[in-house]
Amino acid sequence: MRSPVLDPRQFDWTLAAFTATLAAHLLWLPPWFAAFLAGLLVARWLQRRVYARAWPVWIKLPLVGVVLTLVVFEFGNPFARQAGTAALIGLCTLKLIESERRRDGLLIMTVTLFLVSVQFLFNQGIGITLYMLLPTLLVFLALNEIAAPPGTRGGLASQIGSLGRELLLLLAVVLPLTLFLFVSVPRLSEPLWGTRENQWEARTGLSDTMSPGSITELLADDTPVMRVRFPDGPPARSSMYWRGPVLWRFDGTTWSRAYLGNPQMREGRVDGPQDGAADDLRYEVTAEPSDRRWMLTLDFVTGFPQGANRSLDGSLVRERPISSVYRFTARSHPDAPVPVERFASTQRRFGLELPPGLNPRSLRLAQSWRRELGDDPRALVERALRHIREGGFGYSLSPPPLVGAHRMDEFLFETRLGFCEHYAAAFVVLMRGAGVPARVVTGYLGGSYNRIGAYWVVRNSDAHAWAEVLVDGRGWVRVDPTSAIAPERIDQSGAFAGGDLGRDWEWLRSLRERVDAVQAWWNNHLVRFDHLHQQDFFSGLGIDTGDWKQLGVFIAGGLAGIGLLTAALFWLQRRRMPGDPALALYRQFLRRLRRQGLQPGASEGANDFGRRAAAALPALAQPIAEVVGAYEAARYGRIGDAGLPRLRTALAAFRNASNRKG
Amino acid sequence: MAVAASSAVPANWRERVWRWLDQRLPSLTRRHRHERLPITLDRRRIYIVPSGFGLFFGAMMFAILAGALNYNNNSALLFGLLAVSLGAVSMLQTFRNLDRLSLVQVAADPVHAGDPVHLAFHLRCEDARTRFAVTLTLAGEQRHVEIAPGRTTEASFALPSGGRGWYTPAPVRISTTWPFGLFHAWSWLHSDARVLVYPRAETPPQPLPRLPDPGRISGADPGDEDLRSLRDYQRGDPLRLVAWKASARTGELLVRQLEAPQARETVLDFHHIEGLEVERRLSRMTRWVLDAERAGIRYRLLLPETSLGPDVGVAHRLRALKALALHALPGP
Repeated sequence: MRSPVLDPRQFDWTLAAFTATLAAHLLWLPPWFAAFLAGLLVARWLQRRVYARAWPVWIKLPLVGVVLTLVVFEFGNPFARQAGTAALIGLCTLKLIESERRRDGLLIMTVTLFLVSVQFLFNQGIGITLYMLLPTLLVFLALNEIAAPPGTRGGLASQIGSLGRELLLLLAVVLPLTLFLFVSVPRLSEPLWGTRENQWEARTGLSDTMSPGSITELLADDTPVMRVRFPDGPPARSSMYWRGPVLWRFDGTTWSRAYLGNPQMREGRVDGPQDGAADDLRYEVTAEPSDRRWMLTLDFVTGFPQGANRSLDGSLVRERPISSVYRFTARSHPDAPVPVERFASTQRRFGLELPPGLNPRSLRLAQSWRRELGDDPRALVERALRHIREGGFGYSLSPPPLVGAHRMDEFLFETRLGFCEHYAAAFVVLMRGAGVPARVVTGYLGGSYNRIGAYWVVRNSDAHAWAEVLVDGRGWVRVDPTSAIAPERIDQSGAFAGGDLGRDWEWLRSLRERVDAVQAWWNNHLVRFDHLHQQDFFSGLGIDTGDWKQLGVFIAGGLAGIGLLTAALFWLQRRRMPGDPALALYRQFLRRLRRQGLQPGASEGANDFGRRAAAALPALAQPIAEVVGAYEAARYGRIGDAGLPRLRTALAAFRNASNRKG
Repeated sequence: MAVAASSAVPANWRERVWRWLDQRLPSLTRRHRHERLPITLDRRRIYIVPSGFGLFFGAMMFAILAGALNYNNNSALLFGLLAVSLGAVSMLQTFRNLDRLSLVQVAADPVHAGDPVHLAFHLRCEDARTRFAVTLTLAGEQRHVEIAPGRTTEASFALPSGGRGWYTPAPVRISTTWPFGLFHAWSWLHSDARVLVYPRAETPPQPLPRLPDPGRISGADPGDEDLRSLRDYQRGDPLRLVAWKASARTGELLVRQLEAPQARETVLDFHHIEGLEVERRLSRMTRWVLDAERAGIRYRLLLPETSLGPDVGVAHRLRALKALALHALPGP
């Protein structure tokens, strides 16, 4: 039997639910791809209003090809998360184009629920999570419409009056059940199938290379990277350098990481977890998912958790990428240089490497300083900073592009306009030219304090790059050449680069703080609720999750409680029934006869009882017969409720007669 | 043993399975037993299973939850569980969409054999909830109704009536997948309601038999019969009414019309109709009953087992038609 045709309302609800889901994916879908799909949906909607037919195969088939080609063209590997999701969204759109029957609608709605949950792989913010309630609700309303057989109305969607009660009742049961299940469903301590590094790509954030423009992109991005709490008070803002990847290699354009010729280094496995000294600065970081392994910490990190390693260049690296909100506690020795623990000669060699033959003018300048000042790193650093401070340099987030082969020469002697990535890079080139080992460090600087939540939030717009030079006997010492040209960049990070409106718009700033505090709360309590937190939660209730019996009792008890709640709600609703008016009148009649000692038997119908009563009370036989007849007619007869007046009259007559008799 | 009311539809495998179940597990199917109206549905007689779509939905939910757990993605898990909870509670709602729903009456007027039986199933909520998208299935036909509380809603079917006698409707399947189509709940309504099917009234109509006036028929010369009071012979006419002379004149067999305007009474005698099989006699008598009523002529109905009247009027007509409908049929 063929499935019935979707009527226009069912189709519209289906389309609405799918479109609302598509809208949620706009956060990451390339706009032109989304626009293409939206165009198809609009065309389909208009077409179906005029002529309810599927699109012919000579349109559909090429469209499938186009969608898949676009996906591969945009994302490359069609099996990665983004490409796979984009392909699914595209094919679902095409399915809508040929959906004429109810089973197609049901299929699309089920896939839409899948797309709702896939969305959370991209973003788990509280705003988007609340929004996702809309597509979910729409899916169920569409299912409700589709479940209504042809010619009848779907209840929830079309009946506002009944909608209220039925929906409230549904939610009153569904919400506790959902939350209970959410808490009780056992979380996995280890994933069942793997999530390889770099499989999920292209979340904005620090990359492990620095090429022109890579930081500019970040500076325009306001999304939080992490939130930090300092239980013992924060350090000075000017020492909040959140350390990310350290870049050694320079090819004239791009800076990249180096593996110091040692397999351990490649693994990032240098130091295991450490506790740190008791008087070191303690802080608690809640990192947003970055799909990267960097754990951004202050220099010099001395205490860090299991699963993290401190690499030779002083950055903290996690064993697995941070794919969901991750909280850790760390300790740092503030502003301490990064010690050269091992491989000193390799580090020195890498710290002096320059691309051969490039930037001759810069090198000549650096060598002249060297001849002048000898090999004292401090004096050379001071000289370079003075050069930047006094050489007519300026700070700009949109400097003229550097295009030639000798880019550092171009920057240092011609444009003289740039921001942290230019200054850090140029400074390191100068230092290396002068014979001082140096390297670029990328990360974030500062953060903004949230007064509502009493934490610091670091955003992508706080991205920064600075330099480190090797000082014998001390280690790698931080030098921030940008501070020489724009000290306010250091003191008021965020406000300076990110286009923060906060300084002039106090209320907006305060609103933003509030919103962010809610997001932080959400991250801490919902997003981060994992295996360990579940154990904590249950042990807080006095339940040992290792003991299946205790856990079973808890789950059974919880479900029973929700069952009771459901039963109570339904019972209340049942009690409120108005009752059958004919039956109510008939009961009055029965009450009166009961006084005469007459009661219908268990299986005695109104007719039989009426005859018996008439026989027992011959004086009332006529009124009794009339009441019974009127009752039968009103309750079971064709006239239905139109028979009520006759029943009332008959009942009144019966009452009068029995009173007279009584 | 001709039970005219049973359905003439050939039994396919599904019907056979049901018949077997009815015999073996009557308490499970409740199709077989006739019940007195009103029939109120309750949890003991409502069956519910996941629909095909429900199973597909469940598989998808399983995939979503497994993925959410694996990636430790709590938002996805939360939404997966929300959908699962909605689905689970919808099972209760599907059940409640039938629970405490009553079939209060099956209304049907008697019909003549060959005319469709119009059955109206009157449904009523026993509480204050509206029942949405309830489907009644009978003899392969479906009716979809929404039943608001406090009044009676009817679903009508027109079914072939078969032969004369008591027509007992097959069990009605009442089902719903409301609200989301994930579950399918159903029950059987097999009321003891039955409909009387009268014999088919004969066409073309035969004139009513005149009350026999023995003196006139035997004494008078049939020769001077006026041609206007003659009509064509039809099978079953008594031979003594044949106007032999007139027939000889015209070359066609003619019989005398027994219409006497003053005679307001007649006898409809089963035995008086000759040369016809039983059903056709009944059919002719049915026509006569209707014609006599229309003309307001008192009539006596004579059947082998009964004799009714002479009388005229609604009650007499109903009695007469009932007697004709049930002539020589077993049981009540």
